[in-house]
Parts: sequence; C-alpha cells; structure tokens
Amino acid sequence: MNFTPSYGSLVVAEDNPDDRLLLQEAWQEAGLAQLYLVMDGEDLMDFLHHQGQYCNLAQALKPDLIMLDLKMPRKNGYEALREIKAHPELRTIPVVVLSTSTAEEDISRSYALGACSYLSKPNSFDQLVELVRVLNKYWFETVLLPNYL
Amino acid sequence: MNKFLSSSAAQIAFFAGIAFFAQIVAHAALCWHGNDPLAHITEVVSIAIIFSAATWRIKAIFDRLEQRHRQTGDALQDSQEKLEIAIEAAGLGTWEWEISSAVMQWSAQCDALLGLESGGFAGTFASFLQRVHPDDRAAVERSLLTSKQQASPWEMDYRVIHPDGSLHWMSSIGKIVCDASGQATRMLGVVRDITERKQIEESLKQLNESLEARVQSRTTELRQANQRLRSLANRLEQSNQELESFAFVASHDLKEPLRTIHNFTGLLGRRYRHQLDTQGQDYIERIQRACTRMQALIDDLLTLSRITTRAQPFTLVDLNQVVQNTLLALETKIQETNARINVGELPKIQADPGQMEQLLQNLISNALKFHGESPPFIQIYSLPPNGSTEQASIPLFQIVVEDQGIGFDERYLDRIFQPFERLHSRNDYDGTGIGLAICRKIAERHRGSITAKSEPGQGATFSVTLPTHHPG
Repeated sequence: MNFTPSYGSLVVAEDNPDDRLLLQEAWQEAGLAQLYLVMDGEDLMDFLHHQGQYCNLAQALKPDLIMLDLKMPRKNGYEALREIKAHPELRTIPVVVLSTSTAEEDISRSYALGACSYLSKPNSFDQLVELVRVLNKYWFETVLLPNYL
Repeated sequence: MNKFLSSSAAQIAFFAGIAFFAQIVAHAALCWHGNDPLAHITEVVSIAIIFSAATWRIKAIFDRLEQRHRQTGDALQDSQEKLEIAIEAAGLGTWEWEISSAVMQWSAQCDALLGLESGGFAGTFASFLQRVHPDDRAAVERSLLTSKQQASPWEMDYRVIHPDGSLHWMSSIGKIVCDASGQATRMLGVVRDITERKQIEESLKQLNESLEARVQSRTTELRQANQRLRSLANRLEQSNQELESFAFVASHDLKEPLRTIHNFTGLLGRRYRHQLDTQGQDYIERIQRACTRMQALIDDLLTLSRITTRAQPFTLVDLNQVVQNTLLALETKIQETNARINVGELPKIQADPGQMEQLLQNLISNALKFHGESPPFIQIYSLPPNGSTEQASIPLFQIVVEDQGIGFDERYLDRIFQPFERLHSRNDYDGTGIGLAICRKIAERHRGSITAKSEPGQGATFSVTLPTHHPG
C-alpha cells in the first residue's frame, strides 16, 4: 500500500458498486488519504473491530475518518452510526454521511446521532471530483484529528 | 208541579170544610129556633148562600186544576216530540236491555242501523250479540257484564255485520238503572253508526303509515348514499395518499440510476474526450444536459409530493422575513438580470415556513425569468383581509407578486397551474413546468387559492389568497 504518513486514512461504507467505482475513480484524481471501501454497516463494524474478513488487518490500523451511506443492506447507516458513537474507543472518530437523500428528517437525524457532516451524493462526476478534493483538503489538511497512537 | 197540586188539595179541603161547617150551623139553628119560620127562612137562605158560594169556589178551583193539568200534559208531549226528532236527526237508535229477562227493546232506528227491516229484531240480548262481528263479540259481552256488575256507564265501539254481509262500525253508550236495593235491573242507551268516521280514521292511519314508510325508505336511501359517498371519499383519499407516496418513492429511486448515468457520462467525457471526435463529444454533452433536466424534473416532483407527504406543522410565519430569505437565495439571479424589486409590508400568518419560502421563491423567480426586453421590475405586497373562509370567519388576505414582463394570455390560466404545462419552448425559457403547480398545491394545503391576471406583453399579477390562521 502506498501509505503517505502526512495523510490519514478513511473507510467508506457503500453498497452500490457503481458508486464505489465512481468514488475510486474520483479518488484517483483528487484523493490523497488512504481509502478503504467496505460493503455495508455490518462490514464496517467488522473492519473497525478487526474481525471477520478483516481479522488480518494490522492491529494499528484505525481510520481517521468514517464515511457512510444511509441506505445499506444488513446494517444501515443509522445503525452503524449509533453503534460507533456508543463505543468508548470508536466514538471519537468523525463520521461523515454521504447519501442520495436531501430530506430534512435524514439530515437532522444524522446530526442528532453524532454525524460531523452530511453530504449529498453529487449529480455529476465533476462535482464528485470536487467533493473528494474538498473532503481531503478539509479532513486531512485543515482539521486536527485525535491521535490514536 | 207537586207543590201546585198539594196547595190546590189544601184549598179544596179548606172550602169543603167551610161548606160542611155551614151545614152544621144551619141544622143547629133549625133545631134551636123551632117555631120561628122567619128566622128559619133567614137561616136557610144564609146557609144556602154560603153553600153555593163554597160550591162555586170549589168548582172554579177544579176547573183551574184541570186546565193546569192539561197544560202540563201538552208541554210533556211537546218536549217528548222534540226529543224524538232530535234523536232521529242525530241518527241515534235507542235501546233498553232488561237484564234479568235478557229482553232487548229498541227503536226502529236501531233496526235500520243493523241493516234489519223494521221490526226484524228478535228482541233478545242473544240476538243482539248475534249481529256483532265475531271478533268483537266477546269484548262487547265482557264490557257489558262489567258495566252491569259495577253499575257503571257503558261506552264502546264495535263492528256489526248486516244481513247483506257488509261491515259497519257502531258506537254505543248505555246507562245502568238500579232498583231500590241497588241491583242493576236494566240498561238504557243509544247507538249510532260511525263507519264513515272509522273509514276516515283508517285511511288517515294508512296515509300516515305510508308516509312514515316513505320517509323511512328515503332516510335509508340517504343514509346508504351517504355511506357510499363516505367510503368513496375514503378510497379517494387513500388512493391519493398512495399516489403521493408512490410519486415520492418513485422519484427518490429514480434519482439514483440517473445520477449513475450522469456520473459515468461525465467520467467518460473526462477520461476519453481526446479519443472522441466533436460529434462524439456533442453526444456526451447532450446526454449530460438531458440528465440535468431529468434531475430537475425529479427534484420538482419530489417537492410537489412532499407538500403533503412531508408537510411541516403550521407556525407563526413573518412573511417579510420569508421574502428577505427568498431574495437572498435569488441574489445571483437578481444581480444577473439587474432586477428592481419593491417589497411592501406583509403580515404574519400561520403557515408552513418552508412552503411559504418555496411559494414566494417560485413566484419571484418566475417574475425574474419572464422579464422580456427590459430588466425585471417586481412588486411584492399584500392586500388587507376582505373576506373569510366558508367554514369560519377567519380573515383572508392576498399576497401579490406583480411584474412588468412578457405576461401570458389568460385563456391559459387553468393550464399554467397544472404540472408539466409550459407556455414557452424550453429553448426560450428553461424550467420543468412544475413551479406554479407547486405554488397551487402549497396554497391549497393552507386552505387558500392562487390565481393570476395578465395580458401578453403587459406583465402578470399573481395573487395568493390565504387565511391568516387555522382553527384547531
């Protein structure tokens, strides 16, 4: 893995394969942080706890940022968000919601559960590239994140 | 009359007494004087005078008595005749029932009432009962016996059957006459035919019953119609709700594949632009423009369905603030078009704040869009309450958005508030054609309405009528 020490890592929970591919393509153009992709909320929790198919992850690996979709099979974004924020160690990791929905109830519910940002999935690839650029610039260059080491 | 008789008897006794006394005196004088003839003659004459006077007096009294008795008899007969005429005129039959012998006597009128020839009645209680309708016979007998036992007046309506088989209603009244020991010996009474009255009563009763039945059936019909209407309204409301939630879910789910098409087309253009000729690049751009348009349509459809499915409760909204927010949101467009906007004083109302902003934003952005040659000049103001809603006396007011733009022909007035209706080609003016439909739906959700006045080239005036508050 081409790991750049100055940049952190983020894990994205996204079940739609098209969106996963688009995100990877956009990340190629404007992403600097290490990108991990998981399938859904259940997968995300396995990833964070180093269990299941992620039991061989380096013990030290903890993402600096979590990005998740709301509508996912098995465990949706709300359930994962609630579980993360209830966990004594995971709760300090900022969570960003990336959803198709622009409904007021989804936005306020996400923030109420502890999300740091709410992003609407862009409608064009140009906008997606711009979103990846801004996201990297803000979360991995601008803000100070808690140090887990 | 008794007093008169007894006083006459006393007078007769008195004068007879006097005459008798005079005779005794005359005999005594005859015996005492004996041999004096003159004295004898004198006395005899005097006695004769007294006697004849008495006799004359007595005769006069008897004459008067006789005369008086004749007069009384005439009066009695007279009143008897009058009574008989009255009884006949009233159509009454009179009867008398000797209880012990079960003999019944009645007037000729009774025969007529029972459809018998004069004198055709056998004259017994049993033969009377024979004429009574079998269904009433027991009741008549029972009530007569009760009257007899209690010496109480008898009154009853019952049916009789004439020999020709026809049915007639009789009404009888009778009175018990008792002997000295208080035992009921006979009953006297009258009877009359009340068939006509009974028939009228019966037809009235039938009329009443048929009226009641008609009212009943009409009420049932109305109730059923009401139920049908209610269930229809429920079904309509349900299908409306289903349609709205369908529109919401459908538009929501339509967004995702569309976004994917749009994104990959963008990626294609970005990565492979140099491998495509200008025509290929044009095709990609056309796909992307269509995607943008479809996204706008879906967003507007979502907004339209959210007006009712995702409605927020009404709160007190300052429309001045709402207009300021709207102008801020449209700032770029206002600057681009160099628009001039006048805003008057607007009221505070009970409304959904988000929807009020949506409503004004749609109207103002329309006014900014359809401005024609010169820069837009828009006036926003309210008209004071000048009416009230049908249900309650809640004041209504109007928010007016007036422009000097291209206007429209008023024969299209109905169409412009329908979704997807456009009066201009997309090449001239962009937009989904849903904006005014959203405005109408918002107005209607607030129990208000929207209308417009315009002429081509003369600007347009959109008026939204809304109640200031909502009961409940």
